[in-house]
Amino acid sequence: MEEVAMLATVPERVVIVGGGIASDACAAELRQSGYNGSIQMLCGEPWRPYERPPLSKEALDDKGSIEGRFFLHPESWYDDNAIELRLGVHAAGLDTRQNTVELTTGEKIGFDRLLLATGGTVRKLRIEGGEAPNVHYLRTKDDALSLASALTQGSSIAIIGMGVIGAEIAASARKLGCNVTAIEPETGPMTRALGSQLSNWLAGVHHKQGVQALYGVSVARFVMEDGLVRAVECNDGTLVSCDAVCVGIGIIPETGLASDAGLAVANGIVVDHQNRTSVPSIFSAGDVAELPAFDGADRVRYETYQNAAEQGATAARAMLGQAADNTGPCTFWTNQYDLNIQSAGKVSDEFSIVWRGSMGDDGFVAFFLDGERLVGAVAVNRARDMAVARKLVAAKIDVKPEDLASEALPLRSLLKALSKN
Amino acid sequence: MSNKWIKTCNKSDVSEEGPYCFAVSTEKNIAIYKIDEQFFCTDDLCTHGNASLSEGFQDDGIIECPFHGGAFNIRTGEPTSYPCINAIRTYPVKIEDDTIMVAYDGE
Repeated sequence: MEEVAMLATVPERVVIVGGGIASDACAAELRQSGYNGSIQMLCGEPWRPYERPPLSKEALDDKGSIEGRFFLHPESWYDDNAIELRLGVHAAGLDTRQNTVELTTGEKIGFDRLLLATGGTVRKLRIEGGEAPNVHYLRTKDDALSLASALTQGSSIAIIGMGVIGAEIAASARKLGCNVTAIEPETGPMTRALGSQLSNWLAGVHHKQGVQALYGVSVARFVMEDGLVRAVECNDGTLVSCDAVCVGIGIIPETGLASDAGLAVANGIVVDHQNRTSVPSIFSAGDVAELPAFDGADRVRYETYQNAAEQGATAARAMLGQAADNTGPCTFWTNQYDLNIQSAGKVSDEFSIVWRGSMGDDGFVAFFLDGERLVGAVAVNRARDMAVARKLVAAKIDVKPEDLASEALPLRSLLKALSKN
Repeated sequence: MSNKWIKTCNKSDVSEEGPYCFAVSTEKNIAIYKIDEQFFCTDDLCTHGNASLSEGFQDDGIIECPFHGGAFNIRTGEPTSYPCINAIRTYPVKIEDDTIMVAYDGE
């Protein structure tokens, strides 16, 4: 008779698949929450967890500055917390009856609780030349080092996709003195994240900074010479000559391990509000996990730092049977030129906008309202306002537009009024 | 103790709503806080990322970093929220007349 592993009520062995923010936050929270058992973290890359946000910013435009701040924690932190890092290893299979992970080497690792924080791989352009050596994608530290070497002063860079990554690379490349042409099928940069009004504003910023942008067009083919891309031909016939191409068209969630093992998978590994998958001993967090949306109306997959950190920590508490809930609003930030842009909650053209300050100012906040309900906010160079705005969005409250718009009224007073109720 | 008391700002410059940023040199800022009529001081640069804590959200003796949501106990400097794991440096504070003096040794 085949022996089936029981779900241990008090876990003693936690295995974490993945070496990013979600994994790291999970391990940290397990120890914070008093878990004394073993933690093994399986990292696909040959180094310990590191910060991804600088890869499209400081890693490109100020290479020297990055080393000391690159890793999430010093090596000693993992030793001090008895977190066993397995570097450069890859999980090949998952046995949900025996509760084991099998590595590509054949080694089997047993677990009482498992976290799948496998992230995603960059989506590649499936056209001839898409794998040429001067076509760059950005996801890992190695990708950033390779891209950084291409961004030399005076070189011509074609950026395909002006989502967050493309827009940040454009800003870094301009700072380095590259000639930048951006190709984006939507009407402006970051339309999905910012909505069309803020996207149009940001398009103006990039234009002023010297980015040549082709919006509303897509890539038809690469013009190749000696195995390198020499020009990008767009579907409207425009030819963009280039020394290098950067492609930022999103990621594909790494769900293979989960789906092969029979876990529920949709646009990501399906988890509930405690980051539990369809198998009781297995949890998932970060870019790969699809969770109930903030308002509960649908399911979403977020690709942000805060999301990964919070979900990883939520999964840790849920593993230990402690109170856990991941249904806060998603937030993100991006730095481009001298702009710090932060966002929380739902941002979309379907909502009305209340402005605190205006887009002509150095800093402003756009609040997104669904009727009277505050659902989202975007702040530009207003970090302190944003800290309050995040909490207001999380509180799911009805607001008076004039209160949000009035600079004379401190945002904090709205928060204080809230805590009195 | 090689501490040198330096003059920073006036008591009235600091609000309970958020820290006051004071430049001790061209490269270094400190953050000065007011909690229940008492004053405290920490480094301004977050131990995690390149963020200024004086831009952060202060509430209940905690300062939240404006970038990544990490946080510190203002009185002790201990980190209270991921991803911050290293304590932020704190400095002794005393009041002379209405001026806030900080024991800053120049490092």
